[in-house]
Amino acid sequence: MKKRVVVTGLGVLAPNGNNSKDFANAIFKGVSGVGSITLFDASNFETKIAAEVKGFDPIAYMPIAVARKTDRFAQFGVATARMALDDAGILAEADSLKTAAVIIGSGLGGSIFHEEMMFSLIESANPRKVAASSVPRITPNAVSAYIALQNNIRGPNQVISTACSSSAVAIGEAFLKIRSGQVNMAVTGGVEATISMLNIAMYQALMVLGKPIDSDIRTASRPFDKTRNGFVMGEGAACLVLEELEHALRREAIIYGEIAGYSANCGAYHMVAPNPSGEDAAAVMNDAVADAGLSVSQVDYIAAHGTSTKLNDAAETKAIKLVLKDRAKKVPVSSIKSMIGHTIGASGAIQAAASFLSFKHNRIPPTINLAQFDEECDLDYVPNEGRDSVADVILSNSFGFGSNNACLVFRRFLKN
Amino acid sequence: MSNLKQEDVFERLKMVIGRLTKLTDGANSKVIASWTLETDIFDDIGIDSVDTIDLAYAIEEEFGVKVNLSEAKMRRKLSEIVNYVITLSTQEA
Repeated sequence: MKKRVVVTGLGVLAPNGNNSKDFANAIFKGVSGVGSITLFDASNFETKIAAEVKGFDPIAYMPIAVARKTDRFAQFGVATARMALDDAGILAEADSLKTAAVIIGSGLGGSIFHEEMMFSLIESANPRKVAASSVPRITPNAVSAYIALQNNIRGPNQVISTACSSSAVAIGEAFLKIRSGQVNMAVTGGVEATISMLNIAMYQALMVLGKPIDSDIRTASRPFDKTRNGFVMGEGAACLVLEELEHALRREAIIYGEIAGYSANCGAYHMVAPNPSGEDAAAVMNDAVADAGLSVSQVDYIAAHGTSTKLNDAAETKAIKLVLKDRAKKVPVSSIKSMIGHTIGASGAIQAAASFLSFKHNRIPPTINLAQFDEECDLDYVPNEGRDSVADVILSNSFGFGSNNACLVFRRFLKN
Repeated sequence: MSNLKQEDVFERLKMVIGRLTKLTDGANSKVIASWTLETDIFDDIGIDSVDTIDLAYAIEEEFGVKVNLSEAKMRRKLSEIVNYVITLSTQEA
């Protein structure tokens, strides 16, 4: 028999809030976390804006000995895992954690330190300028390993890298492990530290980064708006504690909501562009709803991938219409990327955290900077202002480079 | 005879370890000031076996000596490392 899977802890580090409470306040009020790049000197760059996590102090979440030998992406993971475990009240029950899984999504791994070491080697032409700690620091699974090390979590330990859908897939795989009875608890989510010279240069070269209107930098990310011209690079992380329902009930955990279904597929269409028909994205949404044992007529809100690129937002809109049919214009759809930019491998997890906060606060976040109507994007995108909503079933979309699609189905928790 | 004085080696060694452990910035400089000759680099500073490789290279660069890694790994207290550096520099000279 399939087990039920509930969320009992959340930890968030986002450009507009360094914990789940501040993040909830920001997203429901439509507060942008986009600003000028401060993490490196971007004065020679065409792109000078990004959505950075502000004032993050790793020492608040881990010993200095760990902080100094981990890259920013792994620190984000250790910090948000700690927040989520604290929130779940599970740290006192160390035995429960011994068999838990840790499954984290990251598109880029420790690319910042990798870059630092490359500069160091090239400038010095001396291999000894490459730190002995480089390999364990840049490997993508440094994040899941340090989460396990810091909390003595000894079950399956994985990092999943499927570009922008990484953390949706990570959460989905953790969900499947609990639903099948393989483990009864998981720390899962996604991390990404994207704001480095090389990384911004790479995405800038790909011409996918958005430009603001009238130099008001907060307008650079405007999903579904007619004038949208690319995404804003974001960084951040979110971790969730997932638990098998009976396990959570036995310890009287506070339950944010349920993960009811998941599906992932590959459109096998193009390495970078989404299939404009939206057919592969529609398939993954339909499959996820079916996996949850629900009907698409029960979907109350869609947390969109909504990157603010011309292609994604039009294709995603088409996909939603294929799924919801005559209800498409009645179901609210919004993109928090309008506020926090595109956090790549962390985006699905931050979106998941936002969705569970929607259940908690009975609010849905807006798509900010939505001013000009686009004929290709004609749904209810919750423009500019958050809305009261008692949504019971939420779909969360994540689409990654390589036609990699994932959809999670979240449900308000009802005991029966 | 080495020209290196114990106090000077100790001060320079603290800066080498500070840079390596990223403890030289801002508020963390207080951490370095608290280190004594009795400080253990593993237990008190959190250096691990991987870090010792970088530390050995950094000491070679700072003091112009050639470190033997297996010998260096036996030395965990700052006083032991200071004396080791002085011994090495005597051999070099």
